[in-house]
Amino acid sequence: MSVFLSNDVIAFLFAELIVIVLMAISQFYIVRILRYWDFNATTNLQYTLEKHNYLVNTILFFTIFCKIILFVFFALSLNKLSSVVPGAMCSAGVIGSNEYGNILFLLKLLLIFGLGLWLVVNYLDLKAINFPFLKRKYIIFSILFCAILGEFVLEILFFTNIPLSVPVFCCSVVFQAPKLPFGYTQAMLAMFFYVIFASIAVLNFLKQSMASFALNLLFLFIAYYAITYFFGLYVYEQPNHKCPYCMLMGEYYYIGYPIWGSLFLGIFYGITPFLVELITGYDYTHLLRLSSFWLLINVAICSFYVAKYYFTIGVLL
Amino acid sequence: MVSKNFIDYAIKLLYKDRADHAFSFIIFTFIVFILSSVLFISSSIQNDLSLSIQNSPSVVVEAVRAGKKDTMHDGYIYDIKRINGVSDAWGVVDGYYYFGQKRIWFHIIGLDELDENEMIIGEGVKREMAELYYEDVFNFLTEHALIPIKINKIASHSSNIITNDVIYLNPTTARAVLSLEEGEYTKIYVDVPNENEISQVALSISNLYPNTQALSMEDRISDIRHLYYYKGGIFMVIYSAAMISFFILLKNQISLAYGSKKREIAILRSIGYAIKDIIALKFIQNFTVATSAFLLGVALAYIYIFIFNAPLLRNVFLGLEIENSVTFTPIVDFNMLFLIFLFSVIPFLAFVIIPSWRIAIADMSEAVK
Repeated sequence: MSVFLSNDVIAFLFAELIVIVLMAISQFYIVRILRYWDFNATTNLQYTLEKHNYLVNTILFFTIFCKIILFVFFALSLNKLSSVVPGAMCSAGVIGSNEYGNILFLLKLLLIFGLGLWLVVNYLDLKAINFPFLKRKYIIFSILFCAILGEFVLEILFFTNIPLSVPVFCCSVVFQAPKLPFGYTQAMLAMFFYVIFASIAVLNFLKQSMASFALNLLFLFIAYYAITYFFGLYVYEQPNHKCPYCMLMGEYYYIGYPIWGSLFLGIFYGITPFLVELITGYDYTHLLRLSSFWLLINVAICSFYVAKYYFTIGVLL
Repeated sequence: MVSKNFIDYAIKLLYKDRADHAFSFIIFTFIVFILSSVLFISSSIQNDLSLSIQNSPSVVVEAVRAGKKDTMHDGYIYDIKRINGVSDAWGVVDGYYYFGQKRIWFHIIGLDELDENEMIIGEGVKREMAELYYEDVFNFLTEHALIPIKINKIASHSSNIITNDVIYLNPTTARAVLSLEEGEYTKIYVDVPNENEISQVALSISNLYPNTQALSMEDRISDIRHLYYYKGGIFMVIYSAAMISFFILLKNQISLAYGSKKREIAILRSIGYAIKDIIALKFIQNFTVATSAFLLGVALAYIYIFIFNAPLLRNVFLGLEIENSVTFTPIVDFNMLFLIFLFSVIPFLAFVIIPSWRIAIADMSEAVK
């Protein structure tokens, strides 16, 4: 038996397949555009290509929008599947149930970042009159499309390999404390978390896009561990419950969505300006303000839970 | 990017051309209606069953011999009670009686509170018995004797999904009806007060008696979930095939409808609409059609299932063996609406993109001639 027949999985794969077919259609035109595009030419071919460019743009706009919705849906269905997979109490068990889950999840996140970056480049390209970045953006898209195909294969492998008879590990086993990298302690993680956040805020204020980019990548890594191993404990109000997924559930008022959502938005706006500059040469540092804003929200929510626990119980975990 | 006036215009135009969109609207409403009906029923049944399991004992132990259900004796209960974390264990009589005249099975459950010559029956059982004129007394046939039992009362309507085919009897009578010896049990119920210890206790029981199956509450809930996932899933697979054919039809229909509007679009373009404006216009219109059909379909399904109790469709899920008189508990959550939306509206819009574009790029000088 496999979870392949559960409603969520079928609906998810169906929508995913339609999105991929649409993307493949646009990829077909993209290849032609990449080969023959010459904005200064007045040939019939160029005229047709410009028409196809509209189609490609519409499709990509639609599919990227769908991919983002599908990502949220994926997270929701993993939560639902945890009631079917034995031993799994939250998404951690479902994702960790076979070797494909974690790679898939990471790939999905990277793709969301990549597609978001693509949207920014696309926006800049459409704003200019003569499509200056057309080839570059379509090359980026072709790479993303290959990754999306890989993602689809991984999804099928992941869903077909979820065991339903043997219990999987739940989050309390997966996220044991000794697994912290480089011998970090929880106090160090929390300290790094605040220090890096403060430096990012300063750098963002100074509009140093490259330094911001590097620190944001570091922050993504540190924040993941800090939230899982330090701030999560205060969300669950238990010293031994370490899990990045359980906070997405209704028992914790879905606080995981704001926490992870604000973190990813902050990181996204933090790393995009540098990449956009790299690709297009435009100065795009006004996004750094958004980065500071979202990261501040993330830090505020995390600190709120620690403060709340300290003021109601009187001790720290 | 898109101004309010533009959306306003798109909707006005949609209203003017409503006949062109009526086909896709009606069919799409129907499709969403069927899909949400099936999902509503299955989630409602799942919910009722899981709720009833949460009120039942923590672990259910059954013995197996040669692949068949076997009986257990007091020794099992004594040993199980000594496992750490178990607060109580008791044996129950629970089995099936074959009612040959109607060729159906009644589910017999022993209940201590009942007198030896009375029984409580579910509504489905009552209807079946009444058809053969067993109004006050029912005669159970066993290999040794004929046991007449007074029909005492009907199980409450609220526990319907569980008790529909159930007969509650005094354990002694139930043993006689099921031909069990004194001191034999078909199931042992185990109470574990600490929820976190349940699966551990279940494991200890199977270790102690390798011939038993100890099912924890969690196992039973996930079994039920899985069964209905399966039923719903097979439906969804067939359904996706039907949907794809609808979407292809839709695509053709939209190209046709837009084809006749070529003049209108050419005029729009000659007064300064860009290709992407026309695509946006068509997209807004189709989004309106799809979402309103989605909302109407879901609302109709809600009325059909939870107010009219799903005539015809219920049999798919509940089986015909004893015709059910279950009423469904309304369970509609955000997750499910999201699922239906994803499964219907997104493909709808996806199939509209290419026809919209094809119309938008059409040569306008040809059309206005």
